[in-house]
Amino acid sequence: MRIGVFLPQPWRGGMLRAVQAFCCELLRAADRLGWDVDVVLSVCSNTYLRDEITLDDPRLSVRETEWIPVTESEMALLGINKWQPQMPYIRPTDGGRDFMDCSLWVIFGAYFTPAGLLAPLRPYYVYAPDFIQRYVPQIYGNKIDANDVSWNITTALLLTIRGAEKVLVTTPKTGEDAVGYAGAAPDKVVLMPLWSIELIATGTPVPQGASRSYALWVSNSTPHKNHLCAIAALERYYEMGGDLDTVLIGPDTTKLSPLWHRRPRDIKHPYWTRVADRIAETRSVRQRLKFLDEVSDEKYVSLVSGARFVWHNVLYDNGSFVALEAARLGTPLLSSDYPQMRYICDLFSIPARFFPPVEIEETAKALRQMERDTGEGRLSVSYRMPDHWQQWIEQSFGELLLSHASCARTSDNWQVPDNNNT
Amino acid sequence: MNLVRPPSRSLGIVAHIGIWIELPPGATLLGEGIGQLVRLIVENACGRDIKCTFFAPFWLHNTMDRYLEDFEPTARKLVRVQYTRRLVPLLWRFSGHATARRPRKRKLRPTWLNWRPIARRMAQLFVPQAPPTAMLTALVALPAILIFSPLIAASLGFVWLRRRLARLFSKGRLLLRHVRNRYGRIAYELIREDEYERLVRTANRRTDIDCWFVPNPGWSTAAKLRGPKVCLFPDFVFAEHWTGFAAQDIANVRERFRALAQSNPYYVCFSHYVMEAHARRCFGIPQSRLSLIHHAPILYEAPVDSDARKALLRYLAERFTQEKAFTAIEQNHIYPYLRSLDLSNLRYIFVSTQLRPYKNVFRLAQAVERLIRYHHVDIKLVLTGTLDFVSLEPELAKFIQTNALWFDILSIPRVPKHVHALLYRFAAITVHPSFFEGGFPFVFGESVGLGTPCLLARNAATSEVLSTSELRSFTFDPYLSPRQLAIVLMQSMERRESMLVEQTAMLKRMSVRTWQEVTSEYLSLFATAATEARNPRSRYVERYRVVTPNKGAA
Repeated sequence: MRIGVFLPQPWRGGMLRAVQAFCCELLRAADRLGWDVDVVLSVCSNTYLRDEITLDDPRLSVRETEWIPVTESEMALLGINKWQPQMPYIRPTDGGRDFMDCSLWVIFGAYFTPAGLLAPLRPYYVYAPDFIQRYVPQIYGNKIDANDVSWNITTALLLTIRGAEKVLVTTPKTGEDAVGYAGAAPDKVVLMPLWSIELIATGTPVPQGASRSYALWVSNSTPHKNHLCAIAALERYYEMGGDLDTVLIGPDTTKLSPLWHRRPRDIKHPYWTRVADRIAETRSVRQRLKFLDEVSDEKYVSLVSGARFVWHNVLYDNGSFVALEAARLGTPLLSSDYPQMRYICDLFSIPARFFPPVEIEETAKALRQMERDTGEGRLSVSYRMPDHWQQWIEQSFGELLLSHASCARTSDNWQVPDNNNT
Repeated sequence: MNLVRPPSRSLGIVAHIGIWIELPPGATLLGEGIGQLVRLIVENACGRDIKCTFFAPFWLHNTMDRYLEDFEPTARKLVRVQYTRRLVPLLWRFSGHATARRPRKRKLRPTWLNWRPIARRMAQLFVPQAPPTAMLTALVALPAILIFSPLIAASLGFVWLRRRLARLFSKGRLLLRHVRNRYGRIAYELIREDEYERLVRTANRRTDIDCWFVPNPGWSTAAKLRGPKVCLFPDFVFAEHWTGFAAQDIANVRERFRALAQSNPYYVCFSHYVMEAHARRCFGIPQSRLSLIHHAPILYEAPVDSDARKALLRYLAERFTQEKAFTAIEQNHIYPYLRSLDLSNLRYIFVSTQLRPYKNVFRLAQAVERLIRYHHVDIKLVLTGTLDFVSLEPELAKFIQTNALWFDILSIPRVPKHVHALLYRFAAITVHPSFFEGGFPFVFGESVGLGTPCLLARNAATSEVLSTSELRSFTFDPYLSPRQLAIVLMQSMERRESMLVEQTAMLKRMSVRTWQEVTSEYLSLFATAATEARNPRSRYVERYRVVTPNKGAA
């Protein structure tokens, strides 16, 4: 049995880590079942360096892929009578057998370029990371335009999810969105454990008497990270007499700095300019906010360990592992209140504090309160891995393979190719 | 001339009702509250062997057919539609109201006529750098060109002529469009007046009609009908809520109401408030001409769940594959999204109303946006009003477009009865946020009867029917801000089950009144009107008098 796992966009970071962890877990599950499974990882052409994909298993191969439109006659030729001319169909091509040697396709975040609906040439599962565009439509640009290609890609995503055999999600709220926003059937949505969690090394403990004079703001440069409200809240916090510096880390966060914008740059995203202008016109924030951009793992550990608290300010996403990392390093967490983050904190029993992300006064008060409480040492930090965590992961991946096998048996259109034939 | 009456047409008996329909092109009774009311009365009247004939202008041919499809099969046998007997006037197409023609497919030009690449190839042969073989070919080709030169010249001339003509036709089309834009309205008005004149003449020739039923008090051409008339008076909404409408439109509607009132018909109101505040005070209609007939609750038959789900899926797939999209947002996003959407899996708030300024749907949409984006509630809003993404009117369409809500606020307008019932069936809750209603909203019975609780806005009509405790439990202030309304919606959805139990009990009490009874009251009014018309001595003396708004209010 061969399974194709697709990463249709040149994502790095969390998504790349998740897809690699997924392949590993899939192979492990096959080992446990005693099945002969190999995995083909599809990535965009000319995107990743050789060492970026770290998996070293002979049963895993990597193919560079392009996505091309499918015509009606091609569909007829393949004997698939599912043509619905509602959007153009697309399919992957690797220059060879075009993944038709796989009995199952697993699509990670089905955002296809060019925009198109995935042709049902093989049964497929979709991993839906989140549906941020439902909650923060500005993520595709401040001025919302239905003709923007991003929205066409979104429509194709939703319809692709609707046609999937299974929709894999890692939080219940994203599962709700898969049903309520994408229109997937509820019985097709599968809640998976957070399989890509890497428990970071705790590193050297923070020396006693360290000043812990800053709050660590972990972010990136996209609009759903709520920078404008966060800066307004910081301004209010400093007006209230807040005494902590704020250290901002994360990919591309330097681009939000007014200093970065002083020099002529090739690309200046309008959103970055707005945030930088907002910071520039706020004296207190300008002076107390430090930009460190993306930092190494060691530096990250030391920054989290040395912070008074970690501030996670996001309008909406699939939750962040920063909660677990902060708890592991003994730093309290102040997070914006949204269901995914609540779920993660509940799952790992992390005593985080929450604030409404768009209420500036509330946010500022929460920051101030956090500063006071952490200063007085009133906040305890702890976490607990859920019981049978590893079993849950093993069981989920085992069930994925089993459900695929049963689906393969019942399907008329195709058969599970015998490994010897492929 | 004394007409010999058939035996059934004795005093107090109505055997045949004529229903006057006066709608502009594109409008329909399907999905309208009045349309439902007329359907129920006609169905029940037909159940008593009373014939009903609709009189409608020719442009409603298709819409009336679709409307009648919703009627009970037994009733449909006794219902007829009378149009004027004539061909569609040629000017109708010019008026811009005819169905738009499909754009003709452009014919592909045969490749041999595409002379440009041929000419380019020939020119290449004669350039000095051309290789010797090319020169040789040119030497052979040159005599051939000379021999066939008249033919080549003729074909080039033909191409030139064709282009000139195409340009000329294109200019002609533009001119025609310009003229149509400017004078089409005048043409439409001319045809409209002529059509109604003809329809009135046709109607007045029908001696078998006992009584005329006019479902809208603004359909003023009905004043020319000679027989007795019974007219519905749902409300004069501008007396309550005039903002959002053009002043000239309000004046025109008022004039039409007055014109019909001058012919002294009987009027039926659905609430005491409208009878007093609108009919009497605004229009000075005498009390003796006014009747108050409350609605009975509309109860749909509960569909079987598995069939219902499939039926709704099939309807959406067919409808949004065939429906013509006018904008990119519909073509690229909304229609593909709706085509395979299984609403039975979704949690949605259903609003069954047209989108008029006083219906307050915009505020509800804002509240739903807040529910989704601030409270992270997984919910959708499904409307039956038409959203116009071309003109972005009403403002709700613009709101949806500028806030990327086209997957969360959906409009499924002009649905047949069985689909309407299914939309109620699968909703989390039904909301009717209107500032004003002429009668107790139908949505209450329709929704609760199908197992979905209903939240109503507090207004004169609901206050007249519901008790104080019911008002507190099932209604909300329509002036609530979107922020407050979002909280009310959340709370209502949380107590969905208890609300449904209470409302079902209430509906049971309300269901004591049936549509049979309502129809009896209507028929008795028709009979009164018919009797009065046949017996001049009993003709009522109190006539309509024109009342100006200020005096009327005083």
